[in-house]
Amino acid sequence: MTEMINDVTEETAEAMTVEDLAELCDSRAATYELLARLYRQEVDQELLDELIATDYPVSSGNDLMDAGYYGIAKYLSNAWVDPLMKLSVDYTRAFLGSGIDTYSAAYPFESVYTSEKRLLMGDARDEVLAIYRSCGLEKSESWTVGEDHVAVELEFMRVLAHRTAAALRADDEERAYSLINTQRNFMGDHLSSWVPVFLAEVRRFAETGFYLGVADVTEGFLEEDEALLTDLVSDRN
Amino acid sequence: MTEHDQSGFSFAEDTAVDFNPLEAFAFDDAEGDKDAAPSVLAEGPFNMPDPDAIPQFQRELVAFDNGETATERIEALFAQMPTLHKMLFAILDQCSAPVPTADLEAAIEEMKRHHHSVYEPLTLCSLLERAGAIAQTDEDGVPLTEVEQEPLRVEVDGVEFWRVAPAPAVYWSLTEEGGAQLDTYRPMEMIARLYEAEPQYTGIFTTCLELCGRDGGTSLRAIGDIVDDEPVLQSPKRYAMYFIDKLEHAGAIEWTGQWSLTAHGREYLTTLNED
Repeated sequence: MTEMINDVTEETAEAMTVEDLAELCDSRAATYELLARLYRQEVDQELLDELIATDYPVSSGNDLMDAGYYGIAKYLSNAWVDPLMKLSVDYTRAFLGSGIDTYSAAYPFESVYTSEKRLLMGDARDEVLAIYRSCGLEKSESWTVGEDHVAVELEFMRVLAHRTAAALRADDEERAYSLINTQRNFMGDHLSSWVPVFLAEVRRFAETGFYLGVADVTEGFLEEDEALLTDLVSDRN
Repeated sequence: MTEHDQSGFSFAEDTAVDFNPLEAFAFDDAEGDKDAAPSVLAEGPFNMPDPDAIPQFQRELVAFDNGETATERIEALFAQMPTLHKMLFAILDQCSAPVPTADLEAAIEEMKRHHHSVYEPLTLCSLLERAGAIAQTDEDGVPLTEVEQEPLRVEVDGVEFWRVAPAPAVYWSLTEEGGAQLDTYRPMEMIARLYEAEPQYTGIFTTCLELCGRDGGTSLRAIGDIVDDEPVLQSPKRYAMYFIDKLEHAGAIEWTGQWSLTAHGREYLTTLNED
């Protein structure tokens, strides 16, 4: 994670040099990496230190992101005693739950929101797994839950954004365009279709300003990134 | 019997043929809809849950912090943690004057050295804070709950950012209700009541206190070797652990790797010797 979260949303795809676009992709990759990490597991001391040392944009061009960044900064400004324990408790409350029904937490799996009975390991998981494999990615041995977890989908976008930056710097425009197109399709077919619903549930279950802020930042960032990817693809066309 | 000769049977009139052994257990579908559990799904896409339809659990009956007043919450917390009374009272005692978080944490860790507990020091503090017995304050005892810091607004290269505001020094102080709870902890009276309740064991209690008052404390075996054969303990049969347990709960002795006198136990023993 960078020390300062870059404002990636104000710039438009217009009038960008290749290097500008590569930097923008790097910046997107960094944001995806941060978001994926936040959803993957509880905040640990190392991440907390980084979050405290980070500067959050006041005006990113997206109201949700602005509110989210402010919420995170405000929570951390007031988390004086045992913040790791409090954040862990809220992570458990928000994403793991402890109930006997399927409505005890905001379960971070696409299958839950796209299957009739809110079941895990559904068609959505098979679809995203096929997409990961088509891009030459296999899940890590250490990952023991479904591949349609929001952290894995965000991580997938990070990898593609990173590859796009590398392709742009290598003057491989065709590959860069192909990667951007894949990201746009993945965003439309998967992330955009369920993450807003998932985040609505996060807002119901999370109690700390931190995870409420993370939800806002996620939703705002995905909105902006989808618009950016659509712009880039239509510009090319 | 030939193939067509069925005169010996009459299925149509045999009532046993209609007997369905499962009939008595079948659900009555005609009435079923009335008793069916209502759906927890709201009308609309994505099967979103309907907040009004989600079953309400009776959490208010079991959660200590659902008490309306701090006194009720503190009482419920102590009732729910009977094995940690000494620790909780010790924390309250530590907070009699504002104490920094690190010092309080170290003090609780020291107490936990001989009293294993799954609770982290700050978790115990947090429970007492939620109950309203202690509060986070500044050095002068002013509660920090009334202080809400805004993040700092800084400008870097012409762009504005939110920066996390530095944390103030956090101290822990006793609240009025916490002070009232601490006042209820009177080990001297509890020890005296032990003596009053079982006057026949006065000598045994005193012997236990004297043995625990040795430098470095003493072991259960050493106490047992001395008191177990006393005539007064033969009927009903009592062993040393009976007295150790009572003295520990009264706050006269504590386990520090050996059984040792607490300050209250030493004070009570001194009073006894003076008398």
